[in-house]
Amino acid sequence: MEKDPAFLIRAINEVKESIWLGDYAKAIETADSNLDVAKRFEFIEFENTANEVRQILRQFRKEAKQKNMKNRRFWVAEQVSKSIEEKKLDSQKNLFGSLLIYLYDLREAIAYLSEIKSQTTMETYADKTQQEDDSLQRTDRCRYSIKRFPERWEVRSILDKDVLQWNTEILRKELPDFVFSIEEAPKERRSTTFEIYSREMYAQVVGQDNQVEMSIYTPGTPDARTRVRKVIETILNTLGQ
Amino acid sequence: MIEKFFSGDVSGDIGEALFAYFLINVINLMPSQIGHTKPVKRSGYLTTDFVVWDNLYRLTSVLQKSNYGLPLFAEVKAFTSQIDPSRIGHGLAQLKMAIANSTLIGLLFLVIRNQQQQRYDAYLIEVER
Repeated sequence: MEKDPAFLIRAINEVKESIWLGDYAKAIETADSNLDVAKRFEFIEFENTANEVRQILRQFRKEAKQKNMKNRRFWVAEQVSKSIEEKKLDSQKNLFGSLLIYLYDLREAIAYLSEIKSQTTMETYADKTQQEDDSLQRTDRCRYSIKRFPERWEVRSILDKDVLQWNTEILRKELPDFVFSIEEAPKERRSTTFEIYSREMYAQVVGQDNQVEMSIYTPGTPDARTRVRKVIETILNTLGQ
Repeated sequence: MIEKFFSGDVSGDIGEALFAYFLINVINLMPSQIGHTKPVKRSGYLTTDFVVWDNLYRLTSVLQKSNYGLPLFAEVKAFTSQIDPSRIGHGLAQLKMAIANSTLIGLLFLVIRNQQQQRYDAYLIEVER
């Protein structure tokens, strides 16, 4: 049996990223393929172990609350640890089981989200041109989703590159008509924020780890869609280089 | 709206709504020329509340300039109880950061509840670097 639960952690992260993007098809695909792999192991035993540990945790939390214990969290952790030892519960199985339960829960949540999205709502009858601009794109370097609101465009993207490796100097060259306002963040910070603006566009870009979120504002002229898409592609392609 | 006490968030919403009303109904800008930005914190300050594309320079009727760079960055501060000078100072600092190193101008829109006359008074302040 493969004892390394890293594949489950990776799967959970990938599923969460896909949900954030609104790419439910990819989230379902990732969750299902990894749950299929997990089924090859003694997954029922893992789940049972994790459920037993959860029950123990709940019981001591309740007891600590009733007794109004001081240092409640520390006391609960100590009691749970002792209990696991006494009952000879396998911590590796508990870890696997907990991750499996989490992935199952995510899978259920995606099914629920997909169902809601497929239902007919007032939005279905709203401005069609606005909805036509909502899309999900995949390139070699990134995946991104665009959602158009009446006064702005919201973009979410997962890049191959971490925010710490971004080169905004290249971006300046690619967008010569824009003024850049970049926050000087401490080196250890894993996020960055910058704004760019020109006579006809203003964009806020926030990046953390490999995630990028952009809000783009531009006057609602007939060529707005073309201009916005061009800037989005330039920013994402350049930051992902 | 005139007599109630509001939390800061509600006061802010009233101020921003009045600013949008002013731009659309008084200055005759199109709603698509106004962007209500998301608050993003940068260097200790939030980004300004609005970006405005006044391409036809309609605001010259109330500003002391005949033309200006675009976009216009605007910050709204609303006071439904006492006026807090530090918030005005903070608004100016937000605009100063937005227009730094540029020839742009900023707009500070102040909305103050007038208890005696049961109304809101609005002031538009032009901010230059």
